[in-house]
Amino acid sequence: MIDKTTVPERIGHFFGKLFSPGFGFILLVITYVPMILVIVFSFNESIIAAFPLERFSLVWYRELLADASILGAFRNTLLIAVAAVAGSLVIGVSAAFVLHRFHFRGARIYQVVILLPFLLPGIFTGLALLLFFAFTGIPKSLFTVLIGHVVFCTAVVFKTVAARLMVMRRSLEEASYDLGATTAQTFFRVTLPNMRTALITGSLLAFVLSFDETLITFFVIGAQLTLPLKIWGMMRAQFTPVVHALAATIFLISTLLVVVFSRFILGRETAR
Amino acid sequence: MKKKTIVSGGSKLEMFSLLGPTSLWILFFVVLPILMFVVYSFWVVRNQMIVREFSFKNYIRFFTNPMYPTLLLRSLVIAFGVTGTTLVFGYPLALKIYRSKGRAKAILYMLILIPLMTSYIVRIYTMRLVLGSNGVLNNLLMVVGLIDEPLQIFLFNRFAIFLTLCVILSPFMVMPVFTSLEKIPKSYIEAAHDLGSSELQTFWRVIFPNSLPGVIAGSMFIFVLSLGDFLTPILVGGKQGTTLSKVIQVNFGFAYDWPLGAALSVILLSISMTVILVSNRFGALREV
Repeated sequence: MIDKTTVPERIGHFFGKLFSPGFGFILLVITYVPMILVIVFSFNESIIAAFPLERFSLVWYRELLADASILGAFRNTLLIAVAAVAGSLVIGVSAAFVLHRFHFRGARIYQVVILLPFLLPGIFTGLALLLFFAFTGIPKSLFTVLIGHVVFCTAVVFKTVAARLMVMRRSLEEASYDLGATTAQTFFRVTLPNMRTALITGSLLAFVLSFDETLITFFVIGAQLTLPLKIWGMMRAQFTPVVHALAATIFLISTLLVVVFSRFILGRETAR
Repeated sequence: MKKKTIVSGGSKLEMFSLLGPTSLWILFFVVLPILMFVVYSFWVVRNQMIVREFSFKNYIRFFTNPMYPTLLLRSLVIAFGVTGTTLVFGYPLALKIYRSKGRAKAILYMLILIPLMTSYIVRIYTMRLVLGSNGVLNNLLMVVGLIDEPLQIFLFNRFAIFLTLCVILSPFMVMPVFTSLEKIPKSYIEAAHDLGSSELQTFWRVIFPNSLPGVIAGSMFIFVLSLGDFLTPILVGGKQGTTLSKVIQVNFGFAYDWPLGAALSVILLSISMTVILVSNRFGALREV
Protein backbone atom coordinates (compact mmCIF):
# COMPACT_ATOMS: atom_id res chain seq x y z
CA MET A 1 0.00 0.00 0.00
CA ILE A 2 1.27 3.43 -0.90
CA ASP A 3 1.18 5.82 2.00
CA LYS A 4 -0.80 8.79 0.82
CA THR A 5 -0.45 10.88 3.95
CA THR A 6 0.32 14.51 3.40
CA VAL A 7 3.04 16.38 5.26
CA PRO A 8 0.72 18.30 7.61
CA GLU A 9 -0.96 15.04 8.50
CA ARG A 10 2.37 13.49 9.33
CA ILE A 11 3.37 16.46 11.47
CA GLY A 12 0.00 16.24 13.20
CA HIS A 13 0.53 12.58 13.82
CA PHE A 14 4.00 13.16 15.23
CA PHE A 15 2.67 15.67 17.74
CA GLY A 16 -0.28 13.44 18.41
CA LYS A 17 1.93 10.51 19.29
CA LEU A 18 4.21 12.69 21.35
CA PHE A 19 1.60 14.61 23.30
CA SER A 20 -1.70 12.85 23.12
CA PRO A 21 -1.53 10.82 26.32
CA GLY A 22 0.68 13.43 27.98
CA PHE A 23 -1.59 16.43 27.39
CA GLY A 24 -4.63 14.68 28.71
CA PHE A 25 -2.66 13.52 31.71
CA ILE A 26 -1.34 17.02 32.46
CA LEU A 27 -4.88 18.38 32.29
CA LEU A 28 -6.16 15.79 34.76
CA VAL A 29 -3.24 16.40 37.12
CA ILE A 30 -3.63 20.17 37.24
CA THR A 31 -7.36 19.76 37.63
CA TYR A 32 -7.14 17.44 40.58
CA VAL A 33 -3.98 18.46 42.47
CA PRO A 34 -5.44 21.76 43.78
CA MET A 35 -8.62 20.03 44.94
CA ILE A 36 -6.77 17.18 46.61
CA LEU A 37 -4.49 19.71 48.35
CA VAL A 38 -7.49 21.47 49.86
CA ILE A 39 -8.73 18.17 51.24
CA VAL A 40 -5.27 17.40 52.65
CA PHE A 41 -4.95 20.82 54.29
CA SER A 42 -8.45 20.61 55.73
CA PHE A 43 -7.22 17.70 57.89
CA ASN A 44 -3.98 19.43 58.81
CA GLU A 45 -3.81 20.93 62.29
CA SER A 46 -1.60 23.85 61.25
CA ILE A 47 -3.24 27.17 60.49
CA ILE A 48 -0.84 27.62 57.55
CA ALA A 49 -1.50 25.72 54.32
CA ALA A 50 2.07 24.55 53.75
CA PHE A 51 4.28 21.50 53.67
CA PRO A 52 5.58 19.73 55.72
CA LEU A 53 2.20 18.84 57.19
CA GLU A 54 1.63 18.91 60.92
CA ARG A 55 -0.73 16.50 62.66
CA PHE A 56 -3.95 14.99 61.35
CA SER A 57 -6.84 16.76 62.96
CA LEU A 58 -10.58 17.26 62.65
CA VAL A 59 -10.48 20.61 64.40
CA TRP A 60 -11.50 22.63 61.30
CA TYR A 61 -14.44 20.37 60.65
CA ARG A 62 -15.50 20.72 64.26
CA GLU A 63 -15.40 24.51 63.88
CA LEU A 64 -17.32 24.20 60.63
CA LEU A 65 -20.12 22.27 62.30
CA ALA A 66 -20.17 24.70 65.22
CA ASP A 67 -20.74 27.69 62.94
CA ALA A 68 -24.48 28.38 62.82
CA SER A 69 -24.18 30.73 59.82
CA ILE A 70 -22.56 27.98 57.74
CA LEU A 71 -25.24 25.49 58.72
CA GLY A 72 -27.90 28.07 57.89
CA ALA A 73 -26.32 28.65 54.47
CA PHE A 74 -26.22 24.89 53.93
CA ARG A 75 -29.92 24.63 54.74
CA ASN A 76 -30.74 27.53 52.37
CA THR A 77 -28.72 25.88 49.61
CA LEU A 78 -30.55 22.58 50.00
CA LEU A 79 -33.99 24.22 50.14
CA ILE A 80 -33.30 26.22 47.00
CA ALA A 81 -31.86 23.21 45.17
CA VAL A 82 -34.94 21.09 45.91
CA ALA A 83 -37.32 23.89 44.94
CA ALA A 84 -35.28 24.69 41.81
CA VAL A 85 -35.47 21.06 40.71
CA ALA A 86 -39.25 21.04 41.16
CA GLY A 87 -39.75 24.35 39.36
CA SER A 88 -37.41 23.60 36.48
CA LEU A 89 -38.97 20.16 35.98
CA VAL A 90 -42.43 21.66 35.52
CA ILE A 91 -41.30 24.42 33.15
CA GLY A 92 -38.57 22.44 31.37
CA VAL A 93 -40.75 19.40 30.70
CA SER A 94 -43.74 21.41 29.48
CA ALA A 95 -41.50 23.46 27.20
CA ALA A 96 -39.85 20.36 25.76
CA PHE A 97 -43.19 18.62 25.32
CA VAL A 98 -44.88 21.55 23.63
CA LEU A 99 -42.02 21.79 21.12
CA HIS A 100 -42.16 18.06 20.51
CA ARG A 101 -45.93 17.88 20.21
CA PHE A 102 -46.83 21.00 18.29
CA HIS A 103 -45.34 22.92 15.43
CA PHE A 104 -45.68 26.63 15.64
CA ARG A 105 -44.09 29.74 14.30
CA GLY A 106 -41.01 30.85 16.23
CA ALA A 107 -40.36 27.39 17.68
CA ARG A 108 -36.64 27.69 16.97
CA ILE A 109 -36.33 31.06 18.67
CA TYR A 110 -38.37 29.74 21.61
CA GLN A 111 -35.83 26.92 21.94
CA VAL A 112 -32.78 29.20 21.82
CA VAL A 113 -34.32 31.61 24.36
CA ILE A 114 -34.95 28.77 26.85
CA LEU A 115 -31.37 27.62 26.45
CA LEU A 116 -29.91 31.13 26.77
CA PRO A 117 -29.38 31.12 30.56
CA PHE A 118 -27.37 27.91 30.12
CA LEU A 119 -25.34 29.21 27.17
CA LEU A 120 -24.62 32.68 28.52
CA PRO A 121 -22.21 33.28 31.38
CA GLY A 122 -23.87 33.76 34.77
CA ILE A 123 -23.02 37.46 34.86
CA PHE A 124 -25.63 38.21 32.18
CA THR A 125 -28.45 36.15 33.65
CA GLY A 126 -27.61 37.43 37.12
CA LEU A 127 -27.39 41.10 36.17
CA ALA A 128 -30.42 40.93 33.89
CA LEU A 129 -32.48 39.57 36.79
CA LEU A 130 -30.99 42.14 39.16
CA LEU A 131 -32.09 44.95 36.83
CA PHE A 132 -35.52 43.36 36.40
CA PHE A 133 -36.04 42.98 40.15
CA ALA A 134 -34.85 46.52 40.77
CA PHE A 135 -37.13 47.86 38.04
CA THR A 136 -40.19 46.03 39.32
CA GLY A 137 -39.33 46.69 42.96
CA ILE A 138 -39.01 43.06 44.03
CA PRO A 139 -36.63 42.95 47.02
CA LYS A 140 -33.65 40.58 46.84
CA SER A 141 -34.11 37.47 48.96
CA LEU A 142 -33.86 33.70 48.78
CA PHE A 143 -36.94 33.86 46.58
CA THR A 144 -35.15 35.90 43.91
CA VAL A 145 -32.25 33.45 44.15
CA LEU A 146 -34.72 30.64 43.52
CA ILE A 147 -36.05 32.38 40.39
CA GLY A 148 -32.48 32.71 39.10
CA HIS A 149 -31.82 29.03 39.74
CA VAL A 150 -35.07 27.92 38.09
CA VAL A 151 -34.25 30.01 35.01
CA PHE A 152 -30.84 28.37 34.79
CA CYS A 153 -31.92 24.81 35.63
CA THR A 154 -34.92 24.93 33.29
CA ALA A 155 -32.47 25.18 30.39
CA VAL A 156 -30.69 22.03 31.58
CA VAL A 157 -33.87 20.02 32.20
CA PHE A 158 -35.28 21.17 28.86
CA LYS A 159 -32.10 20.08 27.05
CA THR A 160 -32.09 16.63 28.67
CA VAL A 161 -35.79 15.98 28.13
CA ALA A 162 -35.80 17.37 24.56
CA ALA A 163 -32.88 15.09 23.67
CA ARG A 164 -34.83 12.08 24.95
CA LEU A 165 -38.01 13.06 23.12
CA MET A 166 -36.04 13.33 19.87
CA VAL A 167 -35.03 9.67 19.98
CA MET A 168 -38.30 8.37 21.41
CA ARG A 169 -40.33 6.33 18.97
CA ARG A 170 -43.17 8.49 17.77
CA SER A 171 -45.26 5.46 16.90
CA LEU A 172 -45.99 5.00 20.60
CA GLU A 173 -47.58 8.40 20.90
CA GLU A 174 -49.21 8.15 17.49
CA ALA A 175 -50.84 4.88 18.52
CA SER A 176 -52.16 6.60 21.62
CA TYR A 177 -53.64 9.48 19.63
CA ASP A 178 -55.09 7.07 17.08
CA LEU A 179 -56.82 5.21 19.88
CA GLY A 180 -58.50 8.45 20.81
CA ALA A 181 -56.41 9.62 23.76
CA THR A 182 -56.16 13.33 24.39
CA THR A 183 -52.84 15.18 24.53
CA ALA A 184 -52.95 15.14 28.33
CA GLN A 185 -53.72 11.41 28.50
CA THR A 186 -50.97 10.62 26.01
CA PHE A 187 -48.52 12.79 27.93
CA PHE A 188 -49.18 11.21 31.33
CA ARG A 189 -49.64 7.60 30.19
CA VAL A 190 -47.20 7.29 27.29
CA THR A 191 -44.72 10.14 27.00
CA LEU A 192 -43.92 10.68 30.68
CA PRO A 193 -43.23 7.02 31.57
CA ASN A 194 -41.01 6.77 28.49
CA MET A 195 -38.79 9.60 29.59
CA ARG A 196 -38.27 8.51 33.16
CA THR A 197 -34.50 8.29 32.71
CA ALA A 198 -34.31 11.75 31.19
CA LEU A 199 -36.38 13.13 34.08
CA ILE A 200 -34.09 11.61 36.70
CA THR A 201 -30.97 12.73 34.81
CA GLY A 202 -32.36 16.24 34.44
CA SER A 203 -33.31 16.45 38.12
CA LEU A 204 -29.91 15.27 39.30
CA LEU A 205 -28.15 17.72 37.00
CA ALA A 206 -30.40 20.55 38.10
CA PHE A 207 -29.80 19.69 41.75
CA VAL A 208 -26.01 19.71 41.44
CA LEU A 209 -25.98 22.88 39.35
CA SER A 210 -28.24 24.68 41.79
CA PHE A 211 -26.22 23.43 44.76
CA ASP A 212 -23.04 24.96 43.28
CA GLU A 213 -24.50 28.00 41.52
CA THR A 214 -22.45 31.10 42.30
CA LEU A 215 -22.43 33.58 39.43
CA ILE A 216 -26.18 34.27 39.10
CA THR A 217 -26.72 33.97 42.86
CA PHE A 218 -24.01 36.60 43.44
CA PHE A 219 -26.22 39.34 41.96
CA VAL A 220 -29.68 38.40 43.19
CA ILE A 221 -28.99 37.31 46.77
CA GLY A 222 -30.27 39.18 49.79
CA ALA A 223 -29.12 38.94 53.40
CA GLN A 224 -29.64 35.16 53.60
CA LEU A 225 -26.63 33.38 52.07
CA THR A 226 -26.21 30.14 50.17
CA LEU A 227 -23.13 27.98 50.69
CA PRO A 228 -21.09 29.19 47.67
CA LEU A 229 -21.76 32.79 48.66
CA LYS A 230 -20.84 31.99 52.25
CA ILE A 231 -17.48 30.68 50.99
CA TRP A 232 -17.07 33.84 48.95
CA GLY A 233 -17.57 35.92 52.08
CA MET A 234 -15.16 33.77 54.10
CA MET A 235 -12.50 34.05 51.39
CA ARG A 236 -12.56 37.80 51.71
CA ALA A 237 -12.59 37.88 55.49
CA GLN A 238 -9.75 36.96 57.85
CA PHE A 239 -8.35 33.65 56.65
CA THR A 240 -9.07 30.50 58.62
CA PRO A 241 -8.58 26.85 57.59
CA VAL A 242 -12.32 26.39 58.17
CA VAL A 243 -12.58 27.55 54.54
CA HIS A 244 -10.51 24.50 53.56
CA ALA A 245 -12.89 22.26 55.44
CA LEU A 246 -15.92 23.92 53.82
CA ALA A 247 -14.37 23.78 50.33
CA ALA A 248 -13.47 20.12 50.84
CA THR A 249 -17.00 19.34 52.06
CA ILE A 250 -18.62 21.03 49.05
CA PHE A 251 -16.22 19.25 46.72
CA LEU A 252 -16.95 15.88 48.27
CA ILE A 253 -20.72 16.42 48.15
CA SER A 254 -20.53 17.33 44.44
CA THR A 255 -18.30 14.34 43.76
CA LEU A 256 -20.70 12.01 45.54
CA LEU A 257 -23.62 13.37 43.51
CA VAL A 258 -21.69 12.98 40.27
CA VAL A 259 -20.72 9.41 41.09
CA VAL A 260 -24.34 8.50 41.86
CA PHE A 261 -25.42 10.34 38.75
CA SER A 262 -22.96 8.77 36.32
CA ARG A 263 -23.45 5.28 37.75
CA PHE A 264 -27.12 5.79 37.10
CA ILE A 265 -26.62 6.95 33.51
CA LEU A 266 -23.98 4.37 32.61
CA GLY A 267 -26.07 1.65 34.24
CA ARG A 268 -29.05 2.67 32.11
CA GLU A 269 -27.04 2.74 28.94
CA THR A 270 -25.64 -0.73 29.37
CA ALA A 271 -29.03 -2.06 30.36
CA ARG A 272 -30.68 -0.69 27.23
CA MET B 1 -33.81 15.15 9.57
CA LYS B 2 -37.34 16.32 9.08
CA LYS B 3 -39.71 15.95 11.97
CA LYS B 4 -42.95 14.19 11.35
CA THR B 5 -45.95 16.26 12.25
CA ILE B 6 -48.62 14.72 14.38
CA VAL B 7 -51.92 16.27 13.51
CA SER B 8 -54.35 13.94 15.16
CA GLY B 9 -55.54 14.70 18.67
CA GLY B 10 -53.90 18.10 19.07
CA SER B 11 -56.00 21.20 19.34
CA LYS B 12 -54.99 24.83 19.39
CA LEU B 13 -56.44 25.08 22.89
CA GLU B 14 -54.19 22.32 24.18
CA MET B 15 -51.19 23.94 22.55
CA PHE B 16 -51.80 27.32 24.12
CA SER B 17 -52.58 25.89 27.53
CA LEU B 18 -49.07 24.43 27.52
CA LEU B 19 -47.32 27.15 25.60
CA GLY B 20 -48.91 29.97 27.57
CA PRO B 21 -47.46 29.41 31.06
CA THR B 22 -43.97 28.48 29.85
CA SER B 23 -43.91 31.43 27.48
CA LEU B 24 -44.95 33.78 30.25
CA TRP B 25 -42.19 32.47 32.49
CA ILE B 26 -39.61 32.85 29.73
CA LEU B 27 -40.92 36.30 28.86
CA PHE B 28 -40.78 37.55 32.45
CA PHE B 29 -37.58 35.99 33.67
CA VAL B 30 -35.44 35.60 30.55
CA VAL B 31 -36.51 37.99 27.78
CA LEU B 32 -37.59 41.06 29.76
CA PRO B 33 -34.58 40.94 32.11
CA ILE B 34 -32.19 40.82 29.15
CA LEU B 35 -34.03 43.75 27.53
CA MET B 36 -33.53 45.63 30.81
CA PHE B 37 -29.84 45.90 29.92
CA VAL B 38 -30.76 47.90 26.85
CA VAL B 39 -33.20 50.10 28.77
CA TYR B 40 -30.80 50.89 31.62
CA SER B 41 -27.88 51.47 29.24
CA PHE B 42 -29.58 54.61 27.92
CA TRP B 43 -30.15 56.11 31.35
CA VAL B 44 -27.72 58.17 33.42
CA VAL B 45 -26.54 58.52 37.00
CA ARG B 46 -26.74 61.91 38.66
CA ASN B 47 -25.94 62.54 42.34
CA GLN B 48 -25.75 58.82 43.06
CA MET B 49 -29.22 58.37 41.61
CA ILE B 50 -30.31 56.62 38.44
CA VAL B 51 -32.15 59.18 36.32
CA ARG B 52 -34.55 57.81 33.71
CA GLU B 53 -33.55 60.12 30.92
CA PHE B 54 -32.61 58.98 27.43
CA SER B 55 -28.95 59.51 26.60
CA PHE B 56 -26.14 57.93 24.58
CA LYS B 57 -23.66 59.09 27.24
CA ASN B 58 -22.65 55.59 28.40
CA TYR B 59 -21.87 54.35 24.91
CA ILE B 60 -19.98 57.54 24.14
CA ARG B 61 -17.95 56.96 27.28
CA PHE B 62 -17.05 53.49 26.08
CA PHE B 63 -15.75 54.71 22.75
CA THR B 64 -14.05 57.90 23.91
CA ASN B 65 -12.29 56.64 27.02
CA PRO B 66 -9.48 54.39 25.72
CA MET B 67 -9.62 52.41 28.97
CA TYR B 68 -12.78 50.53 27.97
CA PRO B 69 -11.72 49.30 24.51
CA THR B 70 -8.40 48.28 26.06
CA LEU B 71 -10.22 46.25 28.72
CA LEU B 72 -12.42 44.65 26.07
CA LEU B 73 -9.34 43.78 24.01
CA ARG B 74 -7.71 42.27 27.09
CA SER B 75 -10.80 40.19 27.81
CA LEU B 76 -10.86 39.00 24.21
CA VAL B 77 -7.16 38.08 24.25
CA ILE B 78 -7.63 36.08 27.46
CA ALA B 79 -10.73 34.36 26.02
CA PHE B 80 -8.92 33.42 22.80
CA GLY B 81 -5.89 32.16 24.73
CA VAL B 82 -8.00 30.05 27.06
CA THR B 83 -10.01 28.63 24.15
CA GLY B 84 -6.89 27.65 22.19
CA THR B 85 -5.12 26.15 25.19
CA THR B 86 -8.08 24.12 26.41
CA LEU B 87 -8.53 22.80 22.86
CA VAL B 88 -4.90 21.69 22.64
CA PHE B 89 -5.07 19.96 26.03
CA GLY B 90 -8.71 18.94 25.99
CA TYR B 91 -8.92 17.27 22.59
CA PRO B 92 -6.32 14.59 23.34
CA LEU B 93 -8.08 13.87 26.62
CA ALA B 94 -11.45 13.51 24.90
CA LEU B 95 -9.82 11.20 22.36
CA LYS B 96 -8.28 9.18 25.15
CA ILE B 97 -11.67 8.70 26.83
CA TYR B 98 -13.27 7.84 23.49
CA ARG B 99 -10.65 5.17 22.82
CA SER B 100 -10.74 3.67 26.33
CA LYS B 101 -12.95 0.72 27.04
CA GLY B 102 -15.14 -0.56 29.85
CA ARG B 103 -14.21 0.44 33.37
CA ALA B 104 -11.36 2.75 32.36
CA LYS B 105 -13.72 4.69 30.14
CA ALA B 106 -16.33 5.04 32.90
CA ILE B 107 -13.72 6.28 35.35
CA LEU B 108 -12.18 8.79 32.94
CA TYR B 109 -15.65 10.06 32.06
CA MET B 110 -16.40 10.57 35.72
CA LEU B 111 -13.07 12.36 36.22
CA ILE B 112 -14.24 14.98 33.70
CA LEU B 113 -17.78 15.15 35.03
CA ILE B 114 -16.65 15.86 38.61
CA PRO B 115 -14.81 19.14 37.86
CA LEU B 116 -17.65 20.15 35.54
CA MET B 117 -20.08 19.89 38.43
CA THR B 118 -17.91 21.08 41.29
CA SER B 119 -18.54 24.54 42.64
CA TYR B 120 -16.92 27.22 40.54
CA ILE B 121 -15.87 29.26 43.52
CA VAL B 122 -14.36 26.27 45.32
CA ARG B 123 -12.23 25.56 42.27
CA ILE B 124 -11.00 29.16 42.02
CA TYR B 125 -10.25 29.00 45.72
CA THR B 126 -8.13 25.87 45.30
CA MET B 127 -6.19 27.52 42.47
CA ARG B 128 -5.48 30.49 44.71
CA LEU B 129 -4.28 28.15 47.39
CA VAL B 130 -1.72 26.75 44.97
CA LEU B 131 -0.63 29.99 43.31
CA GLY B 132 -0.63 32.47 46.23
CA SER B 133 2.45 34.02 47.80
CA ASN B 134 1.87 31.80 50.83
CA GLY B 135 0.69 29.19 48.38
CA VAL B 136 1.70 25.61 47.84
CA LEU B 137 3.75 26.29 44.71
CA ASN B 138 5.99 28.83 46.48
CA ASN B 139 6.09 26.62 49.52
CA LEU B 140 7.28 23.61 47.52
CA LEU B 141 9.85 25.64 45.59
CA MET B 142 11.23 26.88 48.92
CA VAL B 143 11.28 23.43 50.49
CA VAL B 144 13.15 22.07 47.48
CA GLY B 145 15.52 25.03 47.74
CA LEU B 146 14.97 26.56 44.32
CA ILE B 147 13.99 29.91 45.80
CA ASP B 148 14.62 31.61 49.16
CA GLU B 149 11.76 34.09 49.19
CA PRO B 150 8.17 33.49 48.05
CA LEU B 151 7.71 34.66 44.47
CA GLN B 152 4.86 37.06 43.76
CA ILE B 153 4.70 36.14 40.08
CA PHE B 154 2.11 33.39 40.30
CA LEU B 155 -0.85 35.30 41.63
CA PHE B 156 -2.53 38.62 40.93
CA ASN B 157 -1.66 39.00 37.30
CA ARG B 158 -3.14 38.21 33.92
CA PHE B 159 -1.32 34.92 33.67
CA ALA B 160 -3.02 33.73 36.85
CA ILE B 161 -6.41 34.53 35.29
CA PHE B 162 -5.46 32.67 32.13
CA LEU B 163 -4.21 29.61 34.00
CA THR B 164 -7.14 29.49 36.42
CA LEU B 165 -9.68 29.80 33.60
CA CYS B 166 -7.92 27.06 31.60
CA VAL B 167 -8.06 24.68 34.56
CA ILE B 168 -11.62 25.52 35.58
CA LEU B 169 -13.18 25.57 32.12
CA SER B 170 -11.37 22.68 30.40
CA PRO B 171 -14.20 20.16 31.09
CA PHE B 172 -16.45 22.36 28.93
CA MET B 173 -14.13 21.50 26.03
CA VAL B 174 -13.59 17.83 26.79
CA MET B 175 -17.31 16.98 27.18
CA PRO B 176 -18.66 18.24 23.83
CA VAL B 177 -15.65 16.89 21.92
CA PHE B 178 -16.13 13.51 23.58
CA THR B 179 -19.86 13.60 22.80
CA SER B 180 -19.26 14.26 19.11
CA LEU B 181 -16.56 11.56 18.94
CA GLU B 182 -19.01 9.06 20.42
CA LYS B 183 -21.55 9.97 17.76
CA ILE B 184 -19.28 8.95 14.86
CA PRO B 185 -20.74 5.72 13.49
CA LYS B 186 -18.34 2.82 13.93
CA SER B 187 -19.03 1.87 10.30
CA TYR B 188 -17.24 5.02 9.08
CA ILE B 189 -14.07 3.97 10.84
CA GLU B 190 -14.38 0.37 9.71
CA ALA B 191 -14.95 1.53 6.15
CA ALA B 192 -11.82 3.68 6.31
CA HIS B 193 -9.80 0.71 7.57
CA ASP B 194 -11.28 -1.62 4.95
CA LEU B 195 -10.27 0.83 2.26
CA GLY B 196 -6.72 0.51 3.52
CA SER B 197 -6.28 3.77 5.40
CA SER B 198 -3.75 3.87 8.21
CA GLU B 199 -4.58 4.85 11.81
CA LEU B 200 -3.35 8.33 11.13
CA GLN B 201 -5.25 8.76 7.89
CA THR B 202 -8.40 7.53 9.60
CA PHE B 203 -7.91 10.08 12.33
CA TRP B 204 -7.35 13.10 10.10
CA ARG B 205 -9.81 12.20 7.38
CA VAL B 206 -12.63 10.55 9.30
CA ILE B 207 -12.47 11.09 13.03
CA PHE B 208 -11.25 14.67 13.25
CA PRO B 209 -13.60 16.20 10.64
CA ASN B 210 -16.55 14.43 12.24
CA SER B 211 -15.64 15.76 15.68
CA LEU B 212 -15.62 19.39 14.51
CA PRO B 213 -19.14 20.19 15.80
CA GLY B 214 -17.91 19.21 19.27
CA VAL B 215 -14.80 21.33 18.87
CA ILE B 216 -16.95 24.30 17.86
CA ALA B 217 -19.38 23.73 20.73
CA GLY B 218 -16.51 23.44 23.24
CA SER B 219 -14.77 26.52 21.87
CA MET B 220 -18.01 28.48 22.00
CA PHE B 221 -18.55 27.55 25.65
CA ILE B 222 -15.02 28.34 26.71
CA PHE B 223 -14.83 31.60 24.78
CA VAL B 224 -18.15 32.93 26.05
CA LEU B 225 -17.60 31.74 29.62
CA SER B 226 -14.09 33.22 29.88
CA LEU B 227 -15.32 36.47 28.40
CA GLY B 228 -18.08 36.77 31.00
CA ASP B 229 -16.26 35.49 34.06
CA PHE B 230 -15.74 38.08 36.77
CA LEU B 231 -14.94 35.97 39.83
CA THR B 232 -11.58 34.77 38.51
CA PRO B 233 -10.26 38.30 37.80
CA ILE B 234 -11.48 39.45 41.22
CA LEU B 235 -9.96 36.53 43.10
CA VAL B 236 -6.69 35.88 41.26
CA GLY B 237 -6.29 38.84 38.88
CA GLY B 238 -5.20 41.68 41.15
CA LYS B 239 -4.82 45.23 39.79
CA GLN B 240 -3.11 44.15 36.58
CA GLY B 241 -5.81 41.65 35.80
CA THR B 242 -8.83 43.91 35.43
CA THR B 243 -11.10 42.71 32.64
CA LEU B 244 -14.26 44.17 31.16
CA SER B 245 -16.51 41.78 33.07
CA LYS B 246 -14.83 42.76 36.34
CA VAL B 247 -15.47 46.43 35.53
CA ILE B 248 -19.11 45.58 34.85
CA GLN B 249 -19.37 43.93 38.26
CA VAL B 250 -17.70 46.95 39.91
CA ASN B 251 -20.20 49.30 38.25
CA PHE B 252 -23.04 47.24 39.66
CA GLY B 253 -21.26 47.08 42.99
CA PHE B 254 -19.65 49.89 44.92
CA ALA B 255 -19.08 52.19 41.90
CA TYR B 256 -22.89 52.28 41.58
CA ASP B 257 -23.14 53.24 37.93
CA TRP B 258 -25.73 50.74 36.75
CA PRO B 259 -26.40 52.50 33.41
CA LEU B 260 -22.71 52.39 32.48
CA GLY B 261 -22.52 48.78 33.65
CA ALA B 262 -25.59 47.99 31.53
CA ALA B 263 -24.03 49.63 28.45
CA LEU B 264 -20.82 47.63 28.93
CA SER B 265 -22.98 44.50 29.38
CA VAL B 266 -24.82 45.21 26.13
CA ILE B 267 -21.48 45.37 24.32
CA LEU B 268 -20.14 42.17 25.88
CA LEU B 269 -23.50 40.44 25.50
CA SER B 270 -23.66 41.28 21.77
CA ILE B 271 -20.24 39.71 21.27
CA SER B 272 -21.26 36.59 23.23
CA MET B 273 -24.57 36.28 21.36
CA THR B 274 -22.80 36.60 18.01
CA VAL B 275 -20.40 33.81 18.98
CA ILE B 276 -23.32 31.59 20.11
CA LEU B 277 -25.40 32.22 16.98
CA VAL B 278 -22.46 31.67 14.62
CA SER B 279 -21.54 28.41 16.40
CA ASN B 280 -25.16 27.36 16.19
CA ARG B 281 -24.94 27.69 12.39
CA PHE B 282 -22.30 24.96 12.56
CA GLY B 283 -24.55 22.74 14.64
CA ALA B 284 -22.79 23.43 17.94
CA LEU B 285 -25.94 23.40 20.04
CA ARG B 286 -26.69 19.83 19.09
CA GLU B 287 -23.46 18.76 20.78
CA VAL B 288 -24.16 20.12 24.24
